[in-house]
Amino acid sequence: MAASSVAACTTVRSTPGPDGPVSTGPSPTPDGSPPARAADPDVALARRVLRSERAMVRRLDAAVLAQPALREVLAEPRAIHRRHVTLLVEAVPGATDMPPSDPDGGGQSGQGAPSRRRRAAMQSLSRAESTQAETLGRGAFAARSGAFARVLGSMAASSAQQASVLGTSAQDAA
Amino acid sequence: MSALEVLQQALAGEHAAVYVYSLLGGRVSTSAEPVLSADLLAAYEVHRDRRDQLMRLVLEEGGDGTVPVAPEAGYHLPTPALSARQCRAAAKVTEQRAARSYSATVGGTMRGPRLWALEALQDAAVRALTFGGDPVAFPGIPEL
Repeated sequence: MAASSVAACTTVRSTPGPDGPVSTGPSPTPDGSPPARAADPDVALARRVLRSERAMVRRLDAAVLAQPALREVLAEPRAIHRRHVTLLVEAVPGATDMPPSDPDGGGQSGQGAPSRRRRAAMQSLSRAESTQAETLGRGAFAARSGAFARVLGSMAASSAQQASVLGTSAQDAA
Repeated sequence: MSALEVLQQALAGEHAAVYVYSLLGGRVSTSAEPVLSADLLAAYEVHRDRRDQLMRLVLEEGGDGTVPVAPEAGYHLPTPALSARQCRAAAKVTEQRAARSYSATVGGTMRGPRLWALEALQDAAVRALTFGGDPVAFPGIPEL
């Protein structure tokens, strides 16, 4: 399925949930101008998740810059998180207007300088993926749209996979 | 689809997973393939527990008079499963199917059942790696 159709099915407005229409979205304003996006809690959630995913991409990129030897092993998680970002950008209204660099760090995954020791770097990234899985899981639990919850839950599972793979790689590097 | 129907569908899938793992576990030598054998046993126990948990969730969701969906008399294995390699592949497919079922459950439920499905989805996604699966961007949603 193309990301654009995902954006349609995961739209954070006007998507029926399991108990019926749980998120009808804001109504147009009297003068016809677009309503405030922040009125829909799923829109705010999606924007937070997008910031968090972008922070994860930046963290992985920084790890490769610090240790070019990690480029190959980190190619997969970098590609996966970029796919998450791409989907979210298409699904979140106004996402292209968001600054690519998040001033508040975008959560734990954006914190800390990358380690120059391979094992330490892999361990740190594995922990970051675990944290990301928890963040995404909380978002999925809170989402009002069932379709959006499904996508966030899947992204959480993807980060859980990366945490496992990176954790195993760290052990192998010992 | 109502939350009850989603949970019943997940339960039907769990019945199939329990059946498949009971067969696979009997086809792998514990002495020749101790790691795979242990992984299959662990997966069987996890899915058996999930089946029981889903039965409770179905009853809680449906209330009095609800009957949890019963298992079929038998199921087709997802892949041929004569060698250890084939059993591993069958287990991988079983986890991928489980992830798809849990993903649908996340989308079709709220509160407690959704939380349950989120945990099950993460576990199935990681367990698929144990059986030779590759990490993917959207576990449980292969159409993305």
